[in-house]
Amino acid sequence: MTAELTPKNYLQLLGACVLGLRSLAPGRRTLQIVRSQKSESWLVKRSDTYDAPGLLAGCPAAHAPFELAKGGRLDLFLRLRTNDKGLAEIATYRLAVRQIPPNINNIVSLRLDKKEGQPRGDGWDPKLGDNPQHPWAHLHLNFDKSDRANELRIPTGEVEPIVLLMSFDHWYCNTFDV
Amino acid sequence: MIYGIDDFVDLLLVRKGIFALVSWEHRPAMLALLTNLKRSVRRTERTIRTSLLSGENLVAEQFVVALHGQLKSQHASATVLVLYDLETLLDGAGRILNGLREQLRCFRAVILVLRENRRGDLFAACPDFMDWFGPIIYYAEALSRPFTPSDVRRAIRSFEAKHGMSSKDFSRKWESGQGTGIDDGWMWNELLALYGDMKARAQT
Repeated sequence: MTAELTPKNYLQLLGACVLGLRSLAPGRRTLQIVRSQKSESWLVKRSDTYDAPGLLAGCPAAHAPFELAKGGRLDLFLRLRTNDKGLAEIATYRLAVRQIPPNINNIVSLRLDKKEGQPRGDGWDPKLGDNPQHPWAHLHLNFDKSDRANELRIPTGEVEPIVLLMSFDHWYCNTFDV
Repeated sequence: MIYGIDDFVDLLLVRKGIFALVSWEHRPAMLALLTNLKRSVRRTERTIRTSLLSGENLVAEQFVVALHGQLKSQHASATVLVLYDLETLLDGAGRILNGLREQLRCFRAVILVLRENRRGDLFAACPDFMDWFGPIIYYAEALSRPFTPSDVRRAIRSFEAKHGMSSKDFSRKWESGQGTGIDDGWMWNELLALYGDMKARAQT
Protein backbone atom coordinates (compact mmCIF):
# COMPACT_ATOMS: atom_id res chain seq x y z
CA MET A 1 0.00 0.00 0.00
CA THR A 2 1.47 3.34 -1.03
CA ALA A 3 0.55 6.57 0.66
CA GLU A 4 0.58 9.63 -1.59
CA LEU A 5 2.98 11.19 0.88
CA THR A 6 6.67 11.03 1.60
CA PRO A 7 7.56 8.85 4.62
CA LYS A 8 8.24 11.96 6.69
CA ASN A 9 4.88 13.49 5.82
CA TYR A 10 3.07 10.21 6.35
CA LEU A 11 4.65 9.78 9.77
CA GLN A 12 3.75 13.34 10.62
CA LEU A 13 0.13 12.54 9.76
CA LEU A 14 0.27 9.33 11.79
CA GLY A 15 1.82 11.19 14.72
CA ALA A 16 -0.90 13.85 14.59
CA CYS A 17 -3.53 11.11 14.49
CA VAL A 18 -2.05 9.38 17.56
CA LEU A 19 -1.98 12.68 19.44
CA GLY A 20 -5.68 13.09 18.78
CA LEU A 21 -6.81 9.62 19.88
CA ARG A 22 -8.96 10.04 22.98
CA SER A 23 -8.83 6.31 23.68
CA LEU A 24 -5.14 6.62 24.59
CA ALA A 25 -4.39 7.60 28.15
CA PRO A 26 -2.88 11.07 28.53
CA GLY A 27 0.89 11.15 28.64
CA ARG A 28 3.23 9.93 26.02
CA ARG A 29 1.03 9.80 22.92
CA THR A 30 4.10 9.77 20.75
CA LEU A 31 5.44 7.29 18.27
CA GLN A 32 8.91 5.86 18.42
CA ILE A 33 10.34 6.14 14.95
CA VAL A 34 13.71 4.94 13.73
CA ARG A 35 14.95 5.02 10.20
CA SER A 36 17.77 3.48 8.27
CA GLN A 37 20.86 5.50 7.50
CA LYS A 38 19.86 5.99 3.86
CA SER A 39 16.23 6.69 4.83
CA GLU A 40 14.97 3.82 2.70
CA SER A 41 13.34 1.98 5.63
CA TRP A 42 11.42 3.24 8.63
CA LEU A 43 10.22 1.43 11.74
CA VAL A 44 7.47 2.64 14.03
CA LYS A 45 7.13 0.72 17.26
CA ARG A 46 5.27 0.99 20.53
CA SER A 47 5.19 -2.52 21.90
CA ASP A 48 6.70 -4.57 24.71
CA THR A 49 5.85 -7.82 22.97
CA TYR A 50 8.08 -7.80 19.94
CA ASP A 51 11.62 -6.79 20.66
CA ALA A 52 14.31 -6.12 18.10
CA PRO A 53 17.47 -6.38 20.20
CA GLY A 54 19.89 -3.54 19.72
CA LEU A 55 17.93 -1.91 16.95
CA LEU A 56 15.86 0.30 19.22
CA ALA A 57 18.17 0.20 22.23
CA GLY A 58 18.22 3.94 22.83
CA CYS A 59 14.46 4.28 22.47
CA PRO A 60 12.76 3.15 25.71
CA ALA A 61 9.33 4.28 24.49
CA ALA A 62 9.58 1.76 21.65
CA HIS A 63 9.25 -0.99 24.25
CA ALA A 64 6.20 0.50 25.94
CA PRO A 65 2.72 -0.01 24.47
CA PHE A 66 0.18 2.79 24.64
CA GLU A 67 -2.02 2.63 27.73
CA LEU A 68 -5.73 2.99 27.01
CA ALA A 69 -7.81 5.56 28.88
CA LYS A 70 -10.28 3.12 30.49
CA GLY A 71 -8.02 0.06 30.62
CA GLY A 72 -6.14 -2.00 28.09
CA ARG A 73 -2.95 -1.65 26.09
CA LEU A 74 -2.35 -0.98 22.44
CA ASP A 75 0.72 -2.27 20.60
CA LEU A 76 1.68 -0.77 17.29
CA PHE A 77 4.30 -1.80 14.79
CA LEU A 78 4.77 -0.46 11.28
CA ARG A 79 7.46 -0.89 8.69
CA LEU A 80 7.61 1.63 5.89
CA ARG A 81 9.88 1.90 2.91
CA THR A 82 10.55 4.70 0.53
CA ASN A 83 9.59 3.71 -3.00
CA ASP A 84 11.23 4.80 -6.26
CA LYS A 85 9.11 7.94 -6.35
CA GLY A 86 10.10 8.88 -2.81
CA LEU A 87 6.66 8.01 -1.44
CA ALA A 88 5.88 5.97 1.66
CA GLU A 89 5.02 2.33 1.09
CA ILE A 90 3.52 0.56 4.09
CA ALA A 91 5.29 -2.79 3.97
CA THR A 92 3.81 -4.29 7.14
CA TYR A 93 1.67 -3.36 10.09
CA ARG A 94 0.56 -4.95 13.31
CA LEU A 95 -1.92 -3.42 15.71
CA ALA A 96 -2.77 -5.40 18.83
CA VAL A 97 -5.04 -4.47 21.70
CA ARG A 98 -5.02 -6.49 24.91
CA GLN A 99 -6.69 -6.47 28.32
CA ILE A 100 -9.77 -4.65 27.07
CA PRO A 101 -12.22 -4.19 29.99
CA PRO A 102 -15.60 -6.03 29.86
CA ASN A 103 -17.69 -4.67 26.99
CA ILE A 104 -20.88 -5.34 25.04
CA ASN A 105 -18.93 -6.98 22.19
CA ASN A 106 -17.19 -9.37 24.57
CA ILE A 107 -13.85 -8.50 23.01
CA VAL A 108 -10.91 -9.10 25.30
CA SER A 109 -8.22 -8.62 22.69
CA LEU A 110 -7.84 -8.11 18.98
CA ARG A 111 -4.99 -8.00 16.55
CA LEU A 112 -4.66 -6.92 12.95
CA ASP A 113 -1.72 -8.28 11.00
CA LYS A 114 -0.48 -7.49 7.56
CA LYS A 115 2.74 -9.12 6.60
CA GLU A 116 4.75 -8.47 3.53
CA GLY A 117 4.92 -12.00 2.20
CA GLN A 118 2.25 -14.66 2.13
CA PRO A 119 2.95 -18.13 3.57
CA ARG A 120 2.10 -20.59 0.78
CA GLY A 121 2.13 -23.80 2.77
CA ASP A 122 -0.91 -25.81 3.82
CA GLY A 123 -4.15 -24.26 2.66
CA TRP A 124 -2.69 -22.15 -0.14
CA ASP A 125 -5.18 -21.79 -2.99
CA PRO A 126 -3.62 -20.55 -6.25
CA LYS A 127 -7.07 -19.73 -7.68
CA LEU A 128 -7.90 -17.48 -4.75
CA GLY A 129 -4.36 -16.18 -4.58
CA ASP A 130 -4.55 -16.45 -0.81
CA ASN A 131 -4.55 -18.94 2.01
CA PRO A 132 -7.92 -19.25 3.76
CA GLN A 133 -6.20 -21.00 6.68
CA HIS A 134 -3.85 -18.10 7.06
CA PRO A 135 -5.02 -15.13 4.99
CA TRP A 136 -2.45 -12.53 4.09
CA ALA A 137 -3.94 -9.61 6.01
CA HIS A 138 -6.23 -10.67 8.82
CA LEU A 139 -7.96 -9.90 12.11
CA HIS A 140 -7.64 -12.05 15.24
CA LEU A 141 -10.38 -11.71 17.84
CA ASN A 142 -9.73 -12.64 21.48
CA PHE A 143 -6.47 -14.10 20.29
CA ASP A 144 -4.56 -14.12 23.55
CA LYS A 145 -6.83 -16.54 25.42
CA SER A 146 -4.91 -19.54 24.07
CA ASP A 147 -3.04 -20.81 21.02
CA ARG A 148 -6.27 -22.22 19.62
CA ALA A 149 -7.98 -18.85 20.03
CA ASN A 150 -5.25 -17.42 17.83
CA GLU A 151 -6.42 -19.65 14.96
CA LEU A 152 -9.30 -17.30 14.11
CA ARG A 153 -8.04 -15.20 11.23
CA ILE A 154 -10.66 -13.14 9.44
CA PRO A 155 -9.29 -11.81 6.16
CA THR A 156 -9.38 -8.04 5.98
CA GLY A 157 -7.26 -7.06 3.01
CA GLU A 158 -4.87 -4.19 3.44
CA VAL A 159 -6.17 -1.42 5.66
CA GLU A 160 -4.61 1.98 6.09
CA PRO A 161 -3.13 1.94 9.64
CA ILE A 162 -4.41 5.44 10.39
CA VAL A 163 -7.94 4.28 9.57
CA LEU A 164 -7.43 1.25 11.82
CA LEU A 165 -6.37 3.40 14.74
CA MET A 166 -9.18 5.89 14.28
CA SER A 167 -11.77 3.19 13.82
CA PHE A 168 -10.67 1.40 16.98
CA ASP A 169 -10.64 4.74 18.80
CA HIS A 170 -14.24 5.40 17.74
CA TRP A 171 -15.41 2.02 19.08
CA TYR A 172 -13.45 2.31 22.31
CA CYS A 173 -14.60 5.84 23.09
CA ASN A 174 -18.24 4.95 22.38
CA THR A 175 -18.12 1.72 24.36
CA PHE A 176 -16.38 3.12 27.42
CA ASP A 177 -17.74 6.68 27.32
CA VAL A 178 -14.36 8.31 26.97
CA MET B 1 9.37 17.01 12.86
CA ILE B 2 12.64 15.42 13.94
CA TYR B 3 13.05 11.73 13.14
CA GLY B 4 16.42 11.06 14.68
CA ILE B 5 19.80 12.44 15.56
CA ASP B 6 20.77 13.31 11.97
CA ASP B 7 17.70 15.52 11.50
CA PHE B 8 18.50 17.22 14.78
CA VAL B 9 22.11 17.86 13.80
CA ASP B 10 21.09 19.20 10.38
CA LEU B 11 18.85 21.68 12.13
CA LEU B 12 21.50 22.54 14.67
CA LEU B 13 24.17 23.35 12.11
CA VAL B 14 21.98 25.38 9.80
CA ARG B 15 23.50 28.61 11.16
CA LYS B 16 25.76 29.83 13.95
CA GLY B 17 24.53 30.41 17.48
CA ILE B 18 21.63 27.97 17.75
CA PHE B 19 20.43 27.01 21.22
CA ALA B 20 18.59 23.73 21.74
CA LEU B 21 17.02 22.21 24.82
CA VAL B 22 16.87 18.42 24.99
CA SER B 23 15.03 16.72 27.81
CA TRP B 24 15.29 13.09 28.83
CA GLU B 25 13.36 10.62 30.97
CA HIS B 26 15.62 7.60 30.69
CA ARG B 27 19.31 8.02 31.44
CA PRO B 28 20.44 5.41 28.84
CA ALA B 29 18.67 7.51 26.19
CA MET B 30 20.58 10.59 27.37
CA LEU B 31 23.91 8.77 27.31
CA ALA B 32 23.14 7.36 23.86
CA LEU B 33 22.35 10.90 22.71
CA LEU B 34 25.78 12.16 23.76
CA THR B 35 27.53 9.40 21.83
CA ASN B 36 25.34 9.66 18.76
CA LEU B 37 25.53 13.45 18.71
CA LYS B 38 29.32 13.49 18.49
CA ARG B 39 29.31 11.00 15.63
CA SER B 40 26.52 12.70 13.76
CA VAL B 41 28.12 16.17 14.02
CA ARG B 42 31.41 14.78 12.74
CA ARG B 43 29.62 12.99 9.90
CA THR B 44 27.67 16.12 8.94
CA GLU B 45 30.46 18.68 9.13
CA ARG B 46 34.01 17.52 9.69
CA THR B 47 35.29 20.92 10.82
CA ILE B 48 32.86 21.13 13.71
CA ARG B 49 33.75 19.51 17.01
CA THR B 50 31.50 18.58 19.91
CA SER B 51 32.52 19.49 23.42
CA LEU B 52 30.75 17.90 26.38
CA LEU B 53 30.61 19.73 29.69
CA SER B 54 29.19 17.72 32.55
CA GLY B 55 28.08 19.33 35.78
CA GLU B 56 28.36 16.06 37.69
CA ASN B 57 30.58 16.35 40.79
CA LEU B 58 30.97 20.09 40.23
CA VAL B 59 29.85 22.97 42.40
CA ALA B 60 28.73 26.24 40.82
CA GLU B 61 32.19 27.83 41.20
CA GLN B 62 33.85 24.92 39.41
CA PHE B 63 31.19 24.96 36.73
CA VAL B 64 31.79 28.64 35.93
CA VAL B 65 35.55 27.99 35.66
CA ALA B 66 34.93 25.07 33.29
CA LEU B 67 32.52 27.18 31.24
CA HIS B 68 35.01 30.05 30.98
CA GLY B 69 37.58 27.53 29.77
CA GLN B 70 35.23 26.62 26.93
CA LEU B 71 34.47 30.26 26.16
CA LYS B 72 38.15 31.12 25.87
CA SER B 73 38.81 28.32 23.40
CA GLN B 74 39.95 29.59 20.02
CA HIS B 75 37.76 26.92 18.42
CA ALA B 76 34.56 28.13 20.09
CA SER B 77 32.94 29.22 16.83
CA ALA B 78 33.46 25.70 15.47
CA THR B 79 32.25 23.96 18.62
CA VAL B 80 28.91 22.49 19.56
CA LEU B 81 28.84 22.85 23.33
CA VAL B 82 26.76 20.26 25.18
CA LEU B 83 25.89 20.99 28.81
CA TYR B 84 24.54 18.00 30.72
CA ASP B 85 24.22 16.51 34.20
CA LEU B 86 23.43 19.93 35.64
CA GLU B 87 20.55 18.68 37.80
CA THR B 88 22.48 18.76 41.09
CA LEU B 89 23.64 22.37 40.65
CA LEU B 90 20.71 23.70 38.72
CA ASP B 91 20.20 26.91 40.72
CA GLY B 92 23.86 27.93 40.59
CA ALA B 93 24.41 26.80 37.00
CA GLY B 94 21.19 28.51 35.97
CA ARG B 95 22.35 31.86 37.36
CA ILE B 96 25.73 31.47 35.64
CA LEU B 97 24.17 30.60 32.31
CA ASN B 98 21.77 33.50 32.63
CA GLY B 99 24.68 35.88 33.17
CA LEU B 100 26.84 34.48 30.39
CA ARG B 101 24.12 34.06 27.80
CA GLU B 102 25.46 36.76 25.45
CA GLN B 103 28.94 35.24 25.49
CA LEU B 104 27.57 31.76 24.79
CA ARG B 105 26.55 32.95 21.34
CA CYS B 106 30.18 32.57 20.26
CA PHE B 107 29.66 28.80 19.98
CA ARG B 108 28.42 27.21 16.82
CA ALA B 109 25.58 25.77 18.89
CA VAL B 110 24.72 25.19 22.53
CA ILE B 111 22.71 22.18 23.63
CA LEU B 112 21.35 21.94 27.12
CA VAL B 113 20.45 18.39 28.10
CA LEU B 114 18.21 18.15 31.13
CA ARG B 115 16.04 15.66 32.95
CA GLU B 116 12.41 16.15 31.99
CA ASN B 117 11.14 16.72 35.54
CA ARG B 118 13.68 19.53 36.17
CA ARG B 119 12.67 21.75 33.28
CA GLY B 120 10.47 23.94 35.50
CA ASP B 121 13.39 24.54 37.88
CA LEU B 122 15.63 25.52 35.00
CA PHE B 123 13.11 28.05 33.71
CA ALA B 124 12.94 29.55 37.20
CA ALA B 125 16.74 29.66 37.54
CA CYS B 126 17.56 31.31 34.22
CA PRO B 127 14.48 32.84 32.59
CA ASP B 128 16.42 35.12 30.20
CA PHE B 129 18.70 32.35 29.02
CA MET B 130 15.74 30.04 28.48
CA ASP B 131 14.13 32.65 26.24
CA TRP B 132 16.77 31.88 23.66
CA PHE B 133 15.73 28.26 23.31
CA GLY B 134 12.34 29.09 21.86
CA PRO B 135 9.26 26.97 22.30
CA ILE B 136 10.62 23.68 20.92
CA ILE B 137 11.87 21.02 23.29
CA TYR B 138 13.57 17.96 21.87
CA TYR B 139 13.42 14.55 23.55
CA ALA B 140 16.52 12.44 23.88
CA GLU B 141 14.34 9.34 23.50
CA ALA B 142 13.30 10.48 20.02
CA LEU B 143 16.81 11.35 18.84
CA SER B 144 18.03 7.86 18.11
CA ARG B 145 20.67 7.17 15.53
CA PRO B 146 19.63 5.66 12.20
CA PHE B 147 20.11 1.92 11.88
CA THR B 148 22.42 0.23 9.40
CA PRO B 149 22.30 -3.22 7.76
CA SER B 150 24.87 -4.35 10.37
CA ASP B 151 22.48 -3.39 13.19
CA VAL B 152 19.72 -5.42 11.56
CA ARG B 153 22.06 -8.36 11.00
CA ARG B 154 23.10 -8.21 14.67
CA ALA B 155 19.46 -8.23 15.77
CA ILE B 156 18.81 -11.25 13.51
CA ARG B 157 21.78 -13.08 15.03
CA SER B 158 20.40 -12.50 18.50
CA PHE B 159 17.17 -14.24 17.43
CA GLU B 160 19.16 -17.16 16.04
CA ALA B 161 21.09 -17.47 19.31
CA LYS B 162 17.96 -17.08 21.45
CA HIS B 163 16.01 -19.80 19.63
CA GLY B 164 18.92 -22.04 18.62
CA MET B 165 17.79 -22.02 15.00
CA SER B 166 19.22 -20.58 11.83
CA SER B 167 17.25 -17.91 10.03
CA LYS B 168 17.05 -20.23 7.03
CA ASP B 169 15.31 -22.93 9.08
CA PHE B 170 13.07 -20.35 10.68
CA SER B 171 12.07 -18.94 7.28
CA ARG B 172 11.31 -22.42 5.97
CA LYS B 173 8.97 -23.08 8.88
CA TRP B 174 7.45 -19.62 8.66
CA GLU B 175 6.80 -19.91 4.92
CA SER B 176 5.18 -23.32 5.34
CA GLY B 177 2.46 -21.65 7.41
CA GLN B 178 2.57 -24.49 9.95
CA GLY B 179 3.63 -22.23 12.76
CA THR B 180 7.06 -21.95 14.26
CA GLY B 181 6.10 -22.11 17.92
CA ILE B 182 8.13 -18.95 18.42
CA ASP B 183 6.29 -16.13 20.14
CA ASP B 184 8.35 -13.33 18.65
CA GLY B 185 8.56 -14.94 15.20
CA TRP B 186 6.80 -11.92 13.74
CA MET B 187 9.70 -9.65 14.62
CA TRP B 188 12.28 -12.17 13.42
CA ASN B 189 10.49 -12.38 10.09
CA GLU B 190 10.26 -8.58 9.96
CA LEU B 191 13.98 -8.21 10.53
CA LEU B 192 14.75 -10.72 7.78
CA ALA B 193 12.48 -8.83 5.39
CA LEU B 194 14.05 -5.54 6.41
CA TYR B 195 17.56 -6.87 5.93
CA GLY B 196 16.67 -8.32 2.53
CA ASP B 197 15.13 -5.01 1.54
CA MET B 198 18.18 -2.99 2.58
CA LYS B 199 20.55 -5.37 0.83
CA ALA B 200 18.51 -5.28 -2.37
CA ARG B 201 18.47 -1.47 -2.32
CA ALA B 202 22.20 -1.34 -1.78
CA GLN B 203 22.77 -3.48 -4.86
CA THR B 204 20.65 -1.29 -7.16
